[in-house]
Amino acid sequence: MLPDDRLRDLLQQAEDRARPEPEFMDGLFDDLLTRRRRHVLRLGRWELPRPVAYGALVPLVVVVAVVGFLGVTSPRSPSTGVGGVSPSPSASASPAPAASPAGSGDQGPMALVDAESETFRYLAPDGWDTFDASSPELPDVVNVLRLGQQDPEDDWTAADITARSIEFLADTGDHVVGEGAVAIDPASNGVDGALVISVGEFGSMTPAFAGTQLSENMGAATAAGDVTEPLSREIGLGEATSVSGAYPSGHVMHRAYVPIGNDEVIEIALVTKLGRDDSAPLFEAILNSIERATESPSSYRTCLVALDPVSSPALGETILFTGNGFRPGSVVVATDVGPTGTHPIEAKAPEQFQVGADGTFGPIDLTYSGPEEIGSHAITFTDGVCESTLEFTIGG
Amino acid sequence: MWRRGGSASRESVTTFDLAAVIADDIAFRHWYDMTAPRVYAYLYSRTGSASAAEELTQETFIEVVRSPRTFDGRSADALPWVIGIARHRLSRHFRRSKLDDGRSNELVREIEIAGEDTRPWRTIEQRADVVAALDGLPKDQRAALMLRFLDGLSVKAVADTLGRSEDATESLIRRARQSFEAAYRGAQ
Repeated sequence: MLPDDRLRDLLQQAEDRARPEPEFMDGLFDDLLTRRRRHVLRLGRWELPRPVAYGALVPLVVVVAVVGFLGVTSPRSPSTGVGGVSPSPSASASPAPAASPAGSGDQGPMALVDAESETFRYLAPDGWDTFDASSPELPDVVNVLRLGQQDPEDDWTAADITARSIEFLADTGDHVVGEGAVAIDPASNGVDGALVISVGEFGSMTPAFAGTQLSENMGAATAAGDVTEPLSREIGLGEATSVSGAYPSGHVMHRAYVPIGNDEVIEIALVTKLGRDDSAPLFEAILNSIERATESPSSYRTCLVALDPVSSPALGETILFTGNGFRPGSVVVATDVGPTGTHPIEAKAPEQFQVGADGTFGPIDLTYSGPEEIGSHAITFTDGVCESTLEFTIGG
Repeated sequence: MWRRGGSASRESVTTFDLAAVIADDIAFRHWYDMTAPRVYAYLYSRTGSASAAEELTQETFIEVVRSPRTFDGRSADALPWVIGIARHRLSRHFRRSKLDDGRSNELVREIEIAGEDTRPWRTIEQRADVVAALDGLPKDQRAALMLRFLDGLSVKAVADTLGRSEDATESLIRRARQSFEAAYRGAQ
């Protein structure tokens, strides 16, 4: 028998003779340069076999549904337009297969069972009962979370999962840039909120929510030469065009952009039902997590515009808007996307958009009187840094 | 790229700032050219497969680029740390392969019956070097041999890496050694 030292020497000889192909070396290095540029997070250790592909208009969007209040049922039927997503089985009216308390106060675990019957638990932040990845049309999204869960005993917070989702996006190389896509309709899925995260060039992303497809709207608007007013954002990227979002009535959207260099941003949009007071803290927590991971301050500040008294006012009825969390002393610009097209609404109540020292404005009273205004409206309020969008319907 | 250790008593200790190296295109390329072939060689010699070695090398360096700051910088050479990542990837590869093997065992048996004799000492007889001897080993034997004798892992660590029991691994290493030696001597 060969002595151990001799055996070891022979094996070392074998190892020393192995050489990679130059083409492989160069290709991998180029890939690493791209990934280095895109890499913004240092969380998690995923193994991703391939980028998610979801149609030509949906390069990549990770969607995480924040499933609120278990047992909430949807008054709507699922709405899945272009880019829309059917209700996820695990994010439906009976969403949590393992929703029993975990001995952690209001938190509840959720068991996510993947195709290989591996089960992992996630804990949502306080007040959010379960946390779920969703989308049967984006199966790899679920897979991402499964792969991302290295330790089943490790209870992730919503922010952790979100950050890791972003890392997934960052890891997928060139495929992440492009138009954003729609993910989930919180209302039709019986959830209280939905979170969309995408990475791409600022202004190129159009996250929206099924029911009113922003990407679809954007295409139609562009074709008609009717684009939304440009909005200036103070995030070091210069002027960029943004399109106001639209989502089911009775919801509010938080949206923020985290610059990651090379004119690219991570866009985070959280839509929640009105009245969920914890949506802003949740969003802020998610954002803070992302900012820490990216070491990048974002443009985000919590700002909200509330609609009173109803989400479907009748024609001629006075609507009251109240904003808070805006930049003190700034002037809020509001753009309405409605049946008559896109137009600013300052002319209707210009004096009301001055933000006070406490970051609030309003209440603004606004009345739609012409029959041409009947239909869906989405008003985006922005102080140039922070924006909040409301959708409502003017009834006949 | 290089920095000195912080305390006066350790000023002579040179440390390696991997994150800074990766952030610099030229330094990164230089370091990559020095490191990647060795990582590839490590992986190839344990998998016996160029495609697997390339895939695992890619996974390894993606993780390196993703998490350079997890390297503590206390060593002047990050290669052992990178090899550690590679070994982790290798372990996952073996575990995946084990699952795949279960699915393809029937096919392999059919090929063995119908085709040429694939026993290592038969195929190696026509070859003359140690690489060929190693190439002739079944992949699990090859991996066990390299991990045990070249990496210096304990039998238990090899077992963990390959996803096998300790007893089975001990037996595997013994057979691997016998097969390798038989092939090597046969080639002399």
